[in-house]
Amino acid sequence: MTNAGAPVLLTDDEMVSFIINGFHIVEPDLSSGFNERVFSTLLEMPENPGEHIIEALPAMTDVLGNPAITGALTSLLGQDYIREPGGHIHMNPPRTRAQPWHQDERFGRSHQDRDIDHLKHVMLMYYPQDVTDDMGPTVLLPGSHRRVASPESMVTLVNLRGQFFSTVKAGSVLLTHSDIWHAGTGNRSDRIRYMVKIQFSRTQENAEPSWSHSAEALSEMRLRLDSEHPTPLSRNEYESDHALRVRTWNNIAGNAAMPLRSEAHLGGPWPASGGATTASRRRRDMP
Amino acid sequence: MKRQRILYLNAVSRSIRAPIVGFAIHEPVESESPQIQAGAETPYMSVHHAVLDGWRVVSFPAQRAEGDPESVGVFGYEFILEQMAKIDD
Repeated sequence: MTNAGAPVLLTDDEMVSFIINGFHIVEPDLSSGFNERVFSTLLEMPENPGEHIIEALPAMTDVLGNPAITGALTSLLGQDYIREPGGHIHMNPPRTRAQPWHQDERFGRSHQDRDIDHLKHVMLMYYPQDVTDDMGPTVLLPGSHRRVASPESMVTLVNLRGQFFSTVKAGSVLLTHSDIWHAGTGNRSDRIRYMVKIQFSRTQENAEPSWSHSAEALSEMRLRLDSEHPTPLSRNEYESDHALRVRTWNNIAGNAAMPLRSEAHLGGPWPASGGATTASRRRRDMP
Repeated sequence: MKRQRILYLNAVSRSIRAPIVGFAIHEPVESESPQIQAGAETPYMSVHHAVLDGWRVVSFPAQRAEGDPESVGVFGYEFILEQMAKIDD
């Protein structure tokens, strides 16, 4: 178990992946038998402790204090991030059905009040047992944290292209942007699946990147922000989504901000026919 | 007797040729609603492919109003299709 030592910060690549997809999975080095003990404690709990997770499950402090977790949270939310009160222990017993797609609500906030170009809140989900695809893994829609959609507009959505099932090893921690679309899926196995969810928040803006940043990587990171799409987007959405990604980077990168407008899409080889730029070819290729 | 099968197809644009990004089929029998499942395969590549297979479009997505130019909204454009199927009582 390695709860001593400096936080293990995320790299530029990992931060850009988080901005694009809205989640990151950490496998902290926990002591032998730790996850099994947590699982047994959960099995013996007579009732859900509600928001009193740490009191009911003190072992969670070992997860939250692990350098891989403190490093990831520092990278995503800055040096002075805080744990929000509350949280929830999810128990998904055998023979359940999937939840509908949803974004978590925060008290006093409407569905339109989202952090679509910033990273202010992160959900941490710890799984004390292996989660296979028949045990009701949490499903995520990568990139959906930038979508502003009412709960009503999601009611007919079921299986979506690009949906990601977080099948993980015991002890894994899923960190997500708090606005990502997600759902618990149906547990078709004969095993209980537990998940402990706790929310963390940023308390101040960064003056410089709070992750392991290299100025030399900036152009490569910009290329990824400009070009990677985990799910298909409509024509209108390409430009909006692209701008929101760059603004997210700029809102958390402090002095390592990048220009909002990129000229990179105007470069590259001449087209074989017509006068299309890379950007317009991309639009033309999408019906 | 014949009953109505309902198919929701979410396409990446309002074009019936656009790629499908989401789907749900509701069969005309007593059943629970369809749910998110690992390995679920999109039944058609586009609305046009569904029409070729005998589905009939009963609802087309509306043109989206110009709102906040920087917002990215609901996932895909929703087409609703039907197909009449013989059901044994």
